[in-house]
Amino acid sequence: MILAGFAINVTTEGDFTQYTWWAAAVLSLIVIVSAVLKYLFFRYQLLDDAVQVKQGILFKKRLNLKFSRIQNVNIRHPFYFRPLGLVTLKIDGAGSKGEEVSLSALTQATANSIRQTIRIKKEGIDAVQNHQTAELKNQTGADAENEEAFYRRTLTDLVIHGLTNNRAWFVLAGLFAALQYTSISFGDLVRFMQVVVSYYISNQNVAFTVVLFTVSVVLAVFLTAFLSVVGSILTYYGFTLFRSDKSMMVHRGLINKQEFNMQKSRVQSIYIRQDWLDLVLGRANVIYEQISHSPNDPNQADSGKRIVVPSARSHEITKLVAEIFPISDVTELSYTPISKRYFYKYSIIWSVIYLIIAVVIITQSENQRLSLIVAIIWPYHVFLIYMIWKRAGITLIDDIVIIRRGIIGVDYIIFPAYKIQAVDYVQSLLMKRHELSNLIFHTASRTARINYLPSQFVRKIIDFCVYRAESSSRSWM
Amino acid sequence: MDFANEEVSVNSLPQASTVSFTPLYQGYALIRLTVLLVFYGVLSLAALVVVVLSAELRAFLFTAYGVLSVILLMLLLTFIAWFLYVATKAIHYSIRQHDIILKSGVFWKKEVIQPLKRVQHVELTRGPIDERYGLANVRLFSAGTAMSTFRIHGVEHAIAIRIKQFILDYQEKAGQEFSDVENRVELADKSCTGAEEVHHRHTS
Repeated sequence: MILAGFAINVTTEGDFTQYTWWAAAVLSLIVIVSAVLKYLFFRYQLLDDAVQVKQGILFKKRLNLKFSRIQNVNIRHPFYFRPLGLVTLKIDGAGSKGEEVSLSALTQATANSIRQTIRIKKEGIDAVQNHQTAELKNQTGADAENEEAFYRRTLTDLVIHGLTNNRAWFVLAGLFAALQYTSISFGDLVRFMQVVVSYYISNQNVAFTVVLFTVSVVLAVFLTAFLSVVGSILTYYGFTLFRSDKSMMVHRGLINKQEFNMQKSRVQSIYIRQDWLDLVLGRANVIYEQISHSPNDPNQADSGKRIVVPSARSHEITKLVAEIFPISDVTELSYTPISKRYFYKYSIIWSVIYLIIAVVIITQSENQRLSLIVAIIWPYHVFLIYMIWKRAGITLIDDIVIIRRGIIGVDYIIFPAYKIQAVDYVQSLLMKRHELSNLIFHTASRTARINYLPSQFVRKIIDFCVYRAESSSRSWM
Repeated sequence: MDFANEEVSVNSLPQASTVSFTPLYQGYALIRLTVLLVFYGVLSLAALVVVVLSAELRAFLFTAYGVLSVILLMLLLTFIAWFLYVATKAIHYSIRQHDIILKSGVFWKKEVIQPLKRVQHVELTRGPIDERYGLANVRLFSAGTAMSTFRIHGVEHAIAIRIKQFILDYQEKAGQEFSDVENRVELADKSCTGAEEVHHRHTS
């Protein structure tokens, strides 16, 4: 890419031709030499209980990753390895950083056998920890082979996912990065836009400006949607979900193919996310969540630790959830709603704000049209607050907690009571008067909260979940 | 009906609302307040110096706005000091067989229940002021909570040691040794790689 940049420079700046070619040659030599050195200085070894990696030319780095600490083993098929039939094996440790081993350029067969070995060893370790018998230890080896494909996504599904989830930023980021390597600067683009705009605006026609503005907005929306769909296809092409008794595997990707492995017992929560467009099309995204290191930010990227099943149909969702947690259709359950006071409080607060804004506009501003905007936004906002209230709810069934929320689309957060890490009971002075509290669950994957529930009810749920977490002998991992 | 009363399968569950809570060390609130007041003292000295040097500022201070802003500033600082004292006094904790409950908050009351089974890591720390008054802080880490840690600060050192020991004993009794790396998640700053290291690091 650097060479391409230089090449473009060459065509425009004749004087520097020789200099640039020399620089390009030296640079490529450096790249090739360092690549060879890195290859020579990389060694890995599978020990009895760990993976050991020794790498580094000047700064030697040694990593010993015990099998018991391994969370995921994923295989990636980067496009530049595909013609050679090679893959990259990525092993994630339980730690937040640095506990990651990446073995590049293995053959598919080697990678598979390493993954198999790790899986067998791990299941052996898990069996011992869960006090299972030796017989079970032998069985788990066989289980690893039986992964059947049971769920796929078609191109249509991916298009829908692209439309309903804005992935435009992903493609834009890529485009921006690519743009860096050309000689077109951002300044050039801006100047170009200015010329175009000034040419058209000079027509002094107000109606024309409005049309131009509307057209560009529409174009931007279409462009965003298009980019989003492209991003979705690039990420999820060929999405296939495999299942076995103890684990699930995902294959996806167009240019960079990836395989994610996930042990079912490690799933801490399932997040069903549905935006308004998803609701219209009868879809939702099912996200399997494992241990996260920023559980307060539930919108992390889809990685090996957070597996997204894009745009699943309503009846498929139950099947996907049931793979991990034994519950029936979440949409059919009855949820305890939150107090109406939530609606009253927020609709009153915002109404007051809008009222003040309206008064300010009417008295101070010359443009009375602005108050029209307020008149439209205000009831819409109140409607949204109402929808938030209506959607919010919680239920506890078969020892599994389900929190429902959302504005127009309906989201569900599902986790078993015994897996909680901690739980909070929060209450303001005003809420205490009305016997209401907020409930916050902490799991290893996320924090899930629901506000304005009756205090007695919250106490009972907390006592129950805490009891389950403390008395259950099941490992939350 | 406003809400449905979920049926709980075990009728006589332990109730977190009926436990008795212990406050922090009695003088801790006062200690914190004193530290804050000392800080205020330093701040006012600095402000005084600035006022003496800047004639502009002095002129401003004698206007209506100047007096008003000084009064507001005084009120704000007083409020912060009062809040710090009351908030510290409001912190209570309770240690049960299987978990620790921490109550805190003045306007927003918060109770956190931390099951001991989920505690990954216990840390006992002491700042210079803690050392002077024989106090200590206990911090508990559970999985996925690299940011929000459970903290009991300002308890007597002896009590803190006992709390930590209680947790360690619980972990061993429950059959989960600290060297059980399967269930221990490495946190952003901390990296322990074995029971020995953990115990050595935390013997104060």
